[in-house]
Amino acid sequence: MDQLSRRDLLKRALQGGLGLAALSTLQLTAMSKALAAQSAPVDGYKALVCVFLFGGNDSANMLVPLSGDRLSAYAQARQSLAVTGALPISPRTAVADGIGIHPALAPLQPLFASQQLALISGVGALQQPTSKLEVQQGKALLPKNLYSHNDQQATWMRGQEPLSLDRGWGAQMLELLQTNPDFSGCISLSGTNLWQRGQLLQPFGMSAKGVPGLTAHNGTGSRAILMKNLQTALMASQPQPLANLYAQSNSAAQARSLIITDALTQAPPLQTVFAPDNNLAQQLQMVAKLISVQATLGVGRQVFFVGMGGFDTHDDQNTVHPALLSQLGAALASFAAATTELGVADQVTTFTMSDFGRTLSSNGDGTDHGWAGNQLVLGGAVQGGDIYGQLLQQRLGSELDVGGGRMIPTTANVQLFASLASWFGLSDSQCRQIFPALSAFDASVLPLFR
Amino acid sequence: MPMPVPMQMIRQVTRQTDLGVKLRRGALCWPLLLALTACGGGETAPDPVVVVNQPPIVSAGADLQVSAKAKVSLSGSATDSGVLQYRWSQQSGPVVTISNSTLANAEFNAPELYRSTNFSFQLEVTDTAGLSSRDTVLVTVKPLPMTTSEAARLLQQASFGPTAADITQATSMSAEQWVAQQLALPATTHADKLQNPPNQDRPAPVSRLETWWRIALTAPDQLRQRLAFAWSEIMVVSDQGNGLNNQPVGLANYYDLLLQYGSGANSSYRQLLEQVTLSPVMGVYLSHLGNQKPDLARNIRPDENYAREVMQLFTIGLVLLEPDGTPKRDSSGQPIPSYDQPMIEGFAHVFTGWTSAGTVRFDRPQPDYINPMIAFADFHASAEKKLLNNTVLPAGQSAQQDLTQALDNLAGHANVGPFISKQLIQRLVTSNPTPGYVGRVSAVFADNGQGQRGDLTAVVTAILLDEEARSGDLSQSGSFGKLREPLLKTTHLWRLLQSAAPSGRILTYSLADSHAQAPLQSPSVFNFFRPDYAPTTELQQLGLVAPEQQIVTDSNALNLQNHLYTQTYQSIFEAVTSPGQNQMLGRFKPYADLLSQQGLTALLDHYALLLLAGDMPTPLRQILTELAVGLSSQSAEQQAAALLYFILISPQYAVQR
Repeated sequence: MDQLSRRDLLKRALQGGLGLAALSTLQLTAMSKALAAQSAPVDGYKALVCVFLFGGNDSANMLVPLSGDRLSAYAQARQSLAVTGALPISPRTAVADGIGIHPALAPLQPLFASQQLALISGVGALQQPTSKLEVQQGKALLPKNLYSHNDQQATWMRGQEPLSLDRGWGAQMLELLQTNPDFSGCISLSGTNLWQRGQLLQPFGMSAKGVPGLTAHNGTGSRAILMKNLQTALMASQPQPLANLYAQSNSAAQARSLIITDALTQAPPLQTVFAPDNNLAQQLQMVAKLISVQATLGVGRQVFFVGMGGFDTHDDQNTVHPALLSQLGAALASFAAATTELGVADQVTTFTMSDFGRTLSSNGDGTDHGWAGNQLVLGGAVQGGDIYGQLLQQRLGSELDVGGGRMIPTTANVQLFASLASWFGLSDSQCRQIFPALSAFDASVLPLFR
Repeated sequence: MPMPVPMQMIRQVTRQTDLGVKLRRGALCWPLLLALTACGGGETAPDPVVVVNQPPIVSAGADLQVSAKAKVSLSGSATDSGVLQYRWSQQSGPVVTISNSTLANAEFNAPELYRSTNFSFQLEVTDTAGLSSRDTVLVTVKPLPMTTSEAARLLQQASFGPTAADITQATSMSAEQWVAQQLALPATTHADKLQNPPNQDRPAPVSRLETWWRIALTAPDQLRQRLAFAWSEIMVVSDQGNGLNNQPVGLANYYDLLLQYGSGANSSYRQLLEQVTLSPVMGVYLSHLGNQKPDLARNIRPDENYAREVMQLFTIGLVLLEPDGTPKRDSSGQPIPSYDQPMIEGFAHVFTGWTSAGTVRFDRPQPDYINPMIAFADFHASAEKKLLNNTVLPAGQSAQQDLTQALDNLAGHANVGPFISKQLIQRLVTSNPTPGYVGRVSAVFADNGQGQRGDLTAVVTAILLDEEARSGDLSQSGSFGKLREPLLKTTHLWRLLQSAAPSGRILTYSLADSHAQAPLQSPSVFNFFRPDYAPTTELQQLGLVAPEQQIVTDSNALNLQNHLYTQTYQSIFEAVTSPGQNQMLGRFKPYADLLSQQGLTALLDHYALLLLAGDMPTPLRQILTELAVGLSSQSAEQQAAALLYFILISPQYAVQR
């Protein structure tokens, strides 16, 4: 980057650079809009919402056979963990002997029927297609540390194998589509995350409860002004790198929070009910509010990150997993309803990611770290009501089983990402830039969207 | 009867003898004495002797104990006739320059050092005939007592935040003495001090947190408590979102295991690992409690959770490491995995058959979250088990045998030293230790000097007394230091203010919101943050990590600031008229008095010592001065509180150096 223009300085400030605490909210908002207007124009408004299921969701159990040989293979593999009472669904691509979703996902059944919800089956992390033989002979080129939680969470968020600088595809999409992506296009309700980290972009991290203001700055008297001004001076650039990290991060937090707080005051009341004791639902409620003020923030593209933990069901899976799926289903259904209420259902696509699937085989009362699984994609623009990719066969010892019911994915997660990114506005070459492994696979795009 | 032969004769016979350390008149001579007189006897006069030259008698002086940085005199002497040549040389210890090394009395400057260190010097004296003798002297150099800022720096690393009293006490001794004293203190345990929350009849999670705060604020065994906290972020259990969410007593007992086995006299890593493995709290958390041998007919295989995480997080990590903590590389430059799936399965089979104490039927575990787990032979996998380093446990061993040998296998792996040492350094001292620092500590982990592996007292001492810990702020100014954890900012603050509530309770309910962390409440076994987290492109390009930044979001950065504001400016004991019963109030009188009686500079200097180990840069001092001026119409307590708040939120305080 050459010499920093005033515009660049402001851009850096809003992404996470300098402190602007002394500026009024109005001034900051005006600057933010001015910057957004100067960036390369994007088509209308779209938002991608990533729902990360931390711990490795036993997503195979979200989609279970109803009868026949596939059901017996399933029961034999899953033993006491086999799901009963599955709710039948009728995908457009018919499944012999029938297929059902986990009963805890009941709120999603109507969304599947009305073709807003799609399932991607047999999807997982791959660098290139591989086979059971290659894996067993140790010759397969696999993602590193395939069964390690933090490594696989990073693999899904990066969309590629680790390079020397860590970036995630959520932020990278924004940085490819716009020359000055605004920080308010990159919001997390579930903490710092690699998916939303770009070259300059750092996600705006807030809680479902909202954005705090700084108590010390409350009021309009001379003391509040004194505190504000001196705090700005306090958070000036520092020579020592860690101190500078703190100063930058702190001043950015202040400046960005003012902008978001101000925008949220414009949010219309939402009628859609989000269960108060459902943490994921509360996060998605805040996402809906943020989407409702997208025009105030002046952003054409947004990526949101929400998350849910507890999916590492080594133990007690029959008790724990249904409760989690119940929260997931209810939260997604509420969110779909909210986007309809806001009239943006076609412009918002929500999708799940998780560390990995889990072993088809049981350890007695739970499962261990697996590989391929199923993911959900939801939105008005989605060609829903179908199962994409090859239906994950829940059969031990098949040609996809590399041991204990860890199944080789038949669809690479980058194929799913490319489909989402393409809808979001990325060109084919831009997709290949951020998902280099795409070139190893045939049909690079799943036809997920209308 | 043998007649004693005069020593003169002995010397004749033993001309040119190198008499070594000191002339020993007994041992060398008697056998010779007897031989010489065997054929003699009676009272005949001795034969005439020819006087020949003998080497000098040398003394390098008595052994010395001196202080670091002292000028040390080496006082040598020798007796002999004629002109003598003197030569001092160093035999052992860190190399120093000897002045006047060719004189009887030489000197050297004892270097600055942080551990008692032995030096030895040899004086060799040669006479005109070329005969020489030597003698050595042992000089033990002891570290100096700490200055106030040195004490403050150590206390930042090894306590829950320095107070004036702590600093005064610590300046009476060297860092070496302080650390030794601390590690010898008995542990202040947590589980026996839980109090029921108001209006409740048993302890709740908030009780465990209350005890944690109380001990952090007042217990004398500060270093041991800091170590327990550090271990709690490595050998993680948590009560968040799982079956431990209402087991405060069990979790407090687990914390006490980390405290008692992770620090103090005779603490060993191997013992700590065993206690953690057999803890029922860990058994529930990582699901090896109730884990069963395979049932092939039902395609059931043992739970791999503990096997995987004990390797990835508690012992060796994902890749092979050099002793200095850097990853080993294969021929194509790639890191080398330290374990594979068959090893995970091997360990998973080891950890079968264990359940909670008091259980009668294996499938009905007794709810005991305190006592070590017990083994049921019928549920233990009996086949052979493949472990690390080509070790295979033979089939047919008992659960206890397999466990003992498997833990030996884990604890004995070469990775453990660097993997664990580096993380302890990161928890206490600096996020980015040099490979040299990690290597020095790993070496102590491998062998404490007496052939023992995993001696945690030796390891912690090595971490805190290393030159990088003691003076890295000067020698590595760009990369040294670590972001302070939110919890430790509050413990420091409350220690400085002797904060207390009218009720005497310490009840903290929304730590996840205000601090983004709480003891034993991380979201997963991966702790609140990862040791290798590099938050920005800028830091990545500098090769620096900042683990603690991983929990910082825009919201919680502001929440923490607001909390610090509440706990200072809005909680002045001397000013609040109607405090809440459980509202923590800070005592600002000492600081207010200092301000009123000795002025702003004195207060700022005092704050600088307490919070910044004496290093308050001019820009910060100027801002604080402006703040004081702007608030001059307020009370001394309010000014002192506002100044304290500003320092607490400053980038200088944010980094512990």
